Amino acid sequence: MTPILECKGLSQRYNSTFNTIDNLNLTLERGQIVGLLGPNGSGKTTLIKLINGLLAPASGNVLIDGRLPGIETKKIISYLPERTYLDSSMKVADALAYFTDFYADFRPDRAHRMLNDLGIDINARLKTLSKGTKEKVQLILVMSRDALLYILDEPIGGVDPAARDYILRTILMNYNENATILLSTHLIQDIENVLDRVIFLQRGRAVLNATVDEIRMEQRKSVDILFREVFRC
Amino acid sequence: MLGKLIKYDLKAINRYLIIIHAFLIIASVLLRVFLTGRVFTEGVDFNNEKTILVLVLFFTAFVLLISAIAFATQLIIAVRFYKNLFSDEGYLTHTLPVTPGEHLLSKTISGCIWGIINMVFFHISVLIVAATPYTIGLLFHNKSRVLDELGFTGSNVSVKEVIFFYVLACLVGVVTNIVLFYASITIGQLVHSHKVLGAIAAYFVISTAFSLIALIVMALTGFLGASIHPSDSFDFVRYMLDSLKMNGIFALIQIAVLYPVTYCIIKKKVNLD
Repeated sequence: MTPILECKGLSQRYNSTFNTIDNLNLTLERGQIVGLLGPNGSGKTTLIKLINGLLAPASGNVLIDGRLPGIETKKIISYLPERTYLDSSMKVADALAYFTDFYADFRPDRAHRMLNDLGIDINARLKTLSKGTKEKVQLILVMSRDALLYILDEPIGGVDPAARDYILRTILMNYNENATILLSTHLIQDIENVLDRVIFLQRGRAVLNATVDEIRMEQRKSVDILFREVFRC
Repeated sequence: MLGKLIKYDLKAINRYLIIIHAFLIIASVLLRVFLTGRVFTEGVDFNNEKTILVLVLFFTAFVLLISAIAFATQLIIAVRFYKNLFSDEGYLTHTLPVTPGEHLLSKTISGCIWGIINMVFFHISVLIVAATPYTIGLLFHNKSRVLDELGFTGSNVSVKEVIFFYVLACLVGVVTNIVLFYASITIGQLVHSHKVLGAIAAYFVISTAFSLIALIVMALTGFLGASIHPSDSFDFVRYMLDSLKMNGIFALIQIAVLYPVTYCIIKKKVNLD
C-alpha cells in the first residue's frame, strides 16, 4: 500500500536559518498517531505547510497518498493550523455549513454531537467565543471529517489542562484505524501516551524517527526525557 | 465548487455593501424630495445667486457621497480578497479542495458583480436627484440644441453608438479596477513584513506604469496631438468615442497582463505568516 506521506529530498528555506526544511527524507505508514516534535524554529510548521500545499518546496517533493499536493490531497487531509482560521463574523452553524459544502467527508452529525457535549451554542458568533472555545470549535470541525491524514499543528498549545484532556480524547475517539494523525507539539508529556511514533525535527532534518515502544525498550527512556537530552540547549 | 465559492464570497461582502448602497438611494431620494424636486420646477431662476450657491453646495456633497461609496465598495471587495486569501483565514481558504484558479475567478466574479451594482446605483441615484419632470421636459424640448452643444450636429456618430460604448467602457472599467486591486494585493503580499504597504506601492507603480504606456502609445499614434491642436474638421464626438474605445483596449490589455500574473503568484508564491 502507498505510504500516506513521503518526503523525498524535501527542502525549503524562507526565514534565514530558522523554519527551514533541509533535504528531508521521511515515510509515514497509515494507521498511526505520529508526534512531530522539535524546538521552536525547527521547521515543524514549515513541513506542515509544505504537506498542505501552503508552500512550494525549493527542491525535492512531498507525496500524500502518492500524489503531489493539490485538490486530491486536500480532499483527504484534515488540517488544524495553529491559527484561528475561521471568519470571526460567522456563527458556529455557518462554519459547519461551510465545511459541509466543501468537504465531502465532513460529518455534521458528529460535529453537532461534540458541540453539544461541550455545551457550545451553534448559533453563537465565533467572535463572541473565548479563544479556547474557538480552538475547540476548529478541532471539532477538523475531527468531524473522515480524512486519511489529520495534521494538527499545536492543537493543545493554547488551552488549559482540562481542555487538553478533552481534545486528546476527541482526537483518539474520532479517527479510524486506517487514518494517520500527524501531531506537532512541544508539550510532549501531555501527549506521550497517545503517540505510536515520534519524529524529532532539528534544523529541518529528522534526527529521530522511531516508535514510542522502540524508544522505551531500546533507550529505556520516556519520549519527554529523550527530547530534553537531544535538544539540550 | 466555483458556485459555492462565489456564494460565500458574496455572502461575506453583501451585508456591508447592501447597507451603503441603501444609504446612497435614501440620500438621493432625500436630496430629490427636499432640494431638486423643489428647485428644478417651472419658473426656476438660475440667475439667482442663492439658488446657485445651494445647488453647488449640495451637488458637491452629492458627488463626494457617490465617490465615497464607490471607494468604500472597492475597499470592501479588496479587504475581502486580502483577508480571505492572505490573512489567517488563508489557512482554510488555501486548504479547501479548490484550485487557485477557481479562488481567483470566484473573487473576480463576486467583485465584478458588486462593481457593476455600484455602477448601476450610481446612475440610478444621479437620475433620482437630477431627472425631475421639469428637467426631463426641458431636455426633450431642447433636444436638438443639447445635441448641438454636445457636438453631435455634423458628426457621423449616433447617440446610440456613444451610449453603447459608454456602457461597455463602464463594464470594462469595473473589471479592470477589480483585477488591478487583486494584482496589487497579491504582489504586495510578496513583501512579507509589509504586505499592506507593499499592496499600496504595487497599486501606484502598476497604475502609473500603465498610464505612462497608454500616454506614450497615444502620443506616438498622433491621437494626443489631435486634441491639443484640433483641425477645422475636428469631430469632437468621434474623438470622444475613439477615446472610449482606446481606453477599453488599454483596459483589456491591463486585464490580460495582470490576471495571469495574479494567478501565478497565488499558485506558486503564497506564503502565509
